[in-house]
Amino acid sequence: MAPRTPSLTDEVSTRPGVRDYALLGGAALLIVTVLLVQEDAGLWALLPLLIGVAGLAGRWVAAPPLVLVLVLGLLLVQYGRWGRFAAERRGSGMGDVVLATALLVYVAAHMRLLTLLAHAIPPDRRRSRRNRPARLQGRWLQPEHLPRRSLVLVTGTEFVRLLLGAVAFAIVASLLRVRLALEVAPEWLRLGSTAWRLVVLIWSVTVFLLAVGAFLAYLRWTLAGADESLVYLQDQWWQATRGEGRRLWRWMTRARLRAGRKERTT
Amino acid sequence: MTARGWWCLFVVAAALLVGVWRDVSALVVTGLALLMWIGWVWLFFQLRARTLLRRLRLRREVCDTRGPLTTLWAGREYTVHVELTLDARGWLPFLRLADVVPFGMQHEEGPTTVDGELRAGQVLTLEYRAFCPLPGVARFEGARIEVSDLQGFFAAVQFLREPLILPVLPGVLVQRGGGPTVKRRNELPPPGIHHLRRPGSGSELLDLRDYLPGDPPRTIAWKVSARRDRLVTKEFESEVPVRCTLFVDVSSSVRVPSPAGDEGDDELAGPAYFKPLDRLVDLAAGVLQGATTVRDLTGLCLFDEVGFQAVRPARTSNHRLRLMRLLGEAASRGPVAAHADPEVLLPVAYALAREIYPDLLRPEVNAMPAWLVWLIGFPGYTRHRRGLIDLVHRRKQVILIGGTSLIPLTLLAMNLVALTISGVPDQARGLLGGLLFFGAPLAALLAWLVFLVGLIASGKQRRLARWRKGLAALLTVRSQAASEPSARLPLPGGLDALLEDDDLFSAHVQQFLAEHQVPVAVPLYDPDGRYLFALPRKVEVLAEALLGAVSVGRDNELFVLLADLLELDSQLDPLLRAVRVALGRHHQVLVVCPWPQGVPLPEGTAAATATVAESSPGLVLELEHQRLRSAYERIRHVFARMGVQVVCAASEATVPLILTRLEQIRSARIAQGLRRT
Repeated sequence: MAPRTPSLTDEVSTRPGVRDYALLGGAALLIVTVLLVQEDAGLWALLPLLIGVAGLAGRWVAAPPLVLVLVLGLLLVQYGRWGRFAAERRGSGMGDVVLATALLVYVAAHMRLLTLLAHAIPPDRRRSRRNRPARLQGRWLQPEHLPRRSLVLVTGTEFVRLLLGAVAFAIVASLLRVRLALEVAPEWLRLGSTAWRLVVLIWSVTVFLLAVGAFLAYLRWTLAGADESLVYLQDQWWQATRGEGRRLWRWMTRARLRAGRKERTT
Repeated sequence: MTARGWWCLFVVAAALLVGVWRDVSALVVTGLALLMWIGWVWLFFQLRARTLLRRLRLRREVCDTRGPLTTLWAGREYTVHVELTLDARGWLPFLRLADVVPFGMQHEEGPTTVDGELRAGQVLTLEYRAFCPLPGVARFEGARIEVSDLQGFFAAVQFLREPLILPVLPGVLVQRGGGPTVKRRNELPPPGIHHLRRPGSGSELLDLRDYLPGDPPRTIAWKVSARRDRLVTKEFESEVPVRCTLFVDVSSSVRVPSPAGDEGDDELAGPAYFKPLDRLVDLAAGVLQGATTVRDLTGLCLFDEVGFQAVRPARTSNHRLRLMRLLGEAASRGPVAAHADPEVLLPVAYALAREIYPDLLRPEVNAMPAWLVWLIGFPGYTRHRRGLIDLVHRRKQVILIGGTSLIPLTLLAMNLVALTISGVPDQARGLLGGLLFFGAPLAALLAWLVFLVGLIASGKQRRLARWRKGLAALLTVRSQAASEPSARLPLPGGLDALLEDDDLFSAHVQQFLAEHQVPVAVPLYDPDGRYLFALPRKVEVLAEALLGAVSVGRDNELFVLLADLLELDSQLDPLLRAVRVALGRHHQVLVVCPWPQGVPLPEGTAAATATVAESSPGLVLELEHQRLRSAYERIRHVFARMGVQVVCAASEATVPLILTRLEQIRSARIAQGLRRT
């Protein structure tokens, strides 16, 4: 029988790693709530908090995206309500940095909690979870229980790195946002500033992905083993000559089968 | 990227785009921060996956209480110790090592997975206990490595190939009421009384007598001589070694797995044999062990439908070990069906390849163009009948070209010929014209319909074609490492050969599965309903091997034929002739016939092994059981006319019977020797 997955309350009381990530996520949600209240969101600011805490307790994978969507929605509504006064009502850059840090910490804490309690590596859908007899345990293509990160691996360094990293990313993001706000479309393009910023953003991300992708592909080919290289070369040869090869071997097979049939009849 | 990662990325990207579009600074900053963080995690994960995973090193040891082993024995438990290290500077924050118990072993206790982080200088260890139930080979392929980041956004799976092949030699078969080594049956003489009363040059002391001039000084018993104050000589008993040659059938017919029970087997007494060859190997090992204990010489001849490999009788410990290794290697092989349908084997083989060789099946190195499987089917010609949809799938190109081009052009040509040649009746011209006018579009329409149906309904064929191409590329490259040049596929061209030739592909797939010790259900019958594993040629090979042994044999040897003859009861003439020659030279012959699992034993046979009895077999199975029993009776009758005993391998008395026969031969030779003197 598959081991019973312990509940969050069981784990919080017995495992410090689970407790710390749960507390970190809860604290981040509280900060988000406070910031939303400062943005005059009213009682609606409690909604992300409730969803997030429920997600932490129930191990919902969808909770972080849902919280992000709720925050997005609340901020949009607020900015829409402020309308032309949004520039004056807009909070300081520090508020944005704190919000970004808190949301990043919450998402990371929730996901790390899931790797500890649910699974770290996606389960193989091809395999059932049904237990098999003891003598078949560990064999090929047998059902496997969900691989979770061991709780003993959680160290204090992880939390420090997460917090420092979150702050760093938020600050850099704030600076990039300022840089993006300074972008002005060339006149000959006749694009509005918003459209131009979108183009710059998408273009930057695309260039980054292409560059990194090319580097990683180069790295893979450079480090490829002998068998992998041989399979690739063979594949290239086959792609170039498959028509001729197919015809040749098809006729040879046909001749062999015909010869075999004649032998059997005689 | 995992589903978790995709969802988060999607929402973050949406938040960022909406933030830029509506100029909401908080959203922009949050979106950028989260996007950069995900990108950072992705970049480092990819770098680690591409650089560090290749530097992992696996070390495995299979040990018992005395330490690491290179040879295992059936029926014993061992500890498998696995160590994983990182041979480079770096850090893998989360890694999971999953070892796979080979098919030759059974997991007993201990975890087969371990997870943790790994840095240079650290070791991730795993230890568990496993049991070897049957002789053969225990092949450890390696270990499955799964890595992910701390959030579970990205995951990578790799198989670390470090094959370790350990032979599993047959353990000694000790049965209740066993052979001469068990005193319960009093088959051994009690200590102090010897059958071998004739003095000779053996090593066991027979008697003491007074010294006679000419006796070698080394035979003088000095202590006794000192006590008696006269020289006394030792007399040693005469050794009467008996030679026994075991002819073990290792053809594909005894390698077909039996449908042993699944959960129920754990409750039955005794081992449940996977295939008849396991039982034959156990019997041979038991006879070998029993004969060696009494210093009889034992030889071995492994034969199949192709040839035989013979080892002359001897009795040294190295010889015994050599025979055990040969038996173990023979037990490790699986059946080979000459014309097996590759579509039956392909799913298992491809699944195995995806587990062990995922890097060689990646689309970047081993690609099948998506459009190719839609338009062209493999193979073009096959001996297997797979249904109409398969035929249409493989022939759809021909159907389309024929229906849209060949038929209309042929009709057009016929019309032109009819118009140019005088004497053709007008009615015929009209008919041809009508055929061209209506038939050509109809043929084209039909051809297109069949083509489209072939496209839509051939999902399974397209999937199998992709698998076949991936596996064929892998098999072609792997065949380059074969020691025999004839076993290597041509490197440019081998892939096409495997795609178009079902028999060649089937043979290589079976070899691939056998090499990795993966049992697979082979088809037992060909499309015409003929049983594929009767193999009558092996009777001739056995006869040739027996005659060879007789020609070099000495007095009164025992030849034990452990062969599956149930399907060949009417084709035994060559073997009967060889047996007559052996009997004419005053040798003795004994035939042991393996018995299929699940079939009730012949009358008068007590079971030695666990059998899965069918409670209500049904009419077809009952008829099959009757056929087998009748065949067995016919074989017994045929050999009984020559005075040759036939026993069932499933009987508990088989090994004692063989050892008793050796004792009888020894006694007869002693009596013969005494009569001469």
